[in-house]
Amino acid sequence: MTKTKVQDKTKIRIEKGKQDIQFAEVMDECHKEFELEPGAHFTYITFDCTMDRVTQNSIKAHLKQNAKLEIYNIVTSKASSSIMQDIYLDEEGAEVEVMNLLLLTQEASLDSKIEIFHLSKNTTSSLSNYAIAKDQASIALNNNATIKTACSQSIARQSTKGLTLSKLAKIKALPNLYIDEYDVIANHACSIGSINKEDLFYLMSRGMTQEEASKIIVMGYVQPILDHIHDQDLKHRIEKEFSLYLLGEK
Amino acid sequence: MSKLQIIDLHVSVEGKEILKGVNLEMHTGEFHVIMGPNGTGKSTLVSTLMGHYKYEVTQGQILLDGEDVLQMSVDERSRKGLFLAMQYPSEIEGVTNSDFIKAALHARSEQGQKFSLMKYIKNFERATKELKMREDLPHRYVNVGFSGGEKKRNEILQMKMLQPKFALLDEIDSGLDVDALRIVGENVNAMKSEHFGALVITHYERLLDYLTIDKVHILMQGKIVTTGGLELISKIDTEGYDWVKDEFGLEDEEIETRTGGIIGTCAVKNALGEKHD
Repeated sequence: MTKTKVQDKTKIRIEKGKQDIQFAEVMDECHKEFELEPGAHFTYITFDCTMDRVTQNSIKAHLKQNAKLEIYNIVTSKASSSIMQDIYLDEEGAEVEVMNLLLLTQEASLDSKIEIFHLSKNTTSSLSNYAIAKDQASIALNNNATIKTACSQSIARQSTKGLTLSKLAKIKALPNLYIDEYDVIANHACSIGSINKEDLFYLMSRGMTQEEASKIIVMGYVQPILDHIHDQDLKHRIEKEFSLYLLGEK
Repeated sequence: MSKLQIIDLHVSVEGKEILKGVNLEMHTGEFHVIMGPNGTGKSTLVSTLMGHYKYEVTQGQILLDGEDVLQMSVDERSRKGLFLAMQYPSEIEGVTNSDFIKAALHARSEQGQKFSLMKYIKNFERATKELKMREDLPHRYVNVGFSGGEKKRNEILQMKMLQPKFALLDEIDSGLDVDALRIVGENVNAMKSEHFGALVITHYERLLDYLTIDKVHILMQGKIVTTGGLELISKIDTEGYDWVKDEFGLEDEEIETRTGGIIGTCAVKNALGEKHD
């Protein structure tokens, strides 16, 4: 398995049966096209931690038979950004897992539109959003999964967890499932709210200030996504960025 | 030696007065028990001492070594030496027990004070062993997937690690099996010293078999109506609380009845296939 840092390549093809992990720092506009040959397994991690520039993270991916694509989009920003990703599960057995971990502060806004098309039978998709909005930040999450006719035994799952850390912060989720076939599994779940007051009290009753307690709760909230990232340096960098943004030091 | 004083404490929840003038004084080195029927304000008292947001103090004082506790935030109260072992501890997803307790210890360490990781690990391992908890405890998320008994033991583990002056144990025995009850009781009792005291809320005599109790208070209708020694516990165990009412002239309180709609009747009726003639 190789690991490379993507900078200027726009088209990536993963050969039959091969595995690859790539990491990209999203700067300004980032457009990628992926083609996964049969049996290929590709993990793509993006990290957008730009302070003040508008960024766009755009992907178009086609997956062939039994290919697997994992995408982790991680954003810590106080500027505007967008995620536009279209994934086509072209052949039987293709599978995609997308996880978004988003932390927006100040007056930042983020638009995420992820479209997954099940175009063959026995295809699987899973889309999870972990979104945190602080100050006056706003996040819009538009998730679409389409299962076409004759794509039986396909599975489409969507879940969104949103955490607002101030009264003015906004998170909006639009989870859509367009299903044209009967013999499928399709579900979506969404919960958006603020930090549980009872949890906050529990941590403060052990001596942590409200700010520290909130930070610990939020870091705990993002941990399930960080557990998927095995590159320890990158993981520590993300944790550090989150910590700085949460404490308002960035 | 430290002193905790509760003076004429009145507490309301959503406009309803629960505590109606509680007076209590205790020192470190002492274990006090509060007993009383359900709904008399025992948990309200300890939650108020810790500063829970739901409870509004309308009158009275709480002093810790002469300092006004009511002016302190929840975290300040903890750092000053109060600890509440909760009846229903929160589950904190994604935060390991080890990180949680480390953060709590950091919070109470003085500026510039060095934190010894080795000492911390040793103390954690010892406390885990003494409470007969699972070895993977440091790596488990706080109370997530814990059984009721494990949660209670985890509260005691935190107490052992944080070394407060006064522990407020809110029904720490509920949900514990016989062996776990003994382990918890013995661990709490072992902490009794001139630097540590406990205010214990319980309904059962069994926990008290393992604790060296100094005073027993009976809380009824929002007030401590009598204080005594272990003889009070035996009397309650055999006779219940009716004699307290008779002896202290307490009248039965009116039970508030609520009126409201029933949700889901239609759904239930339809599911049962109710016939409409």
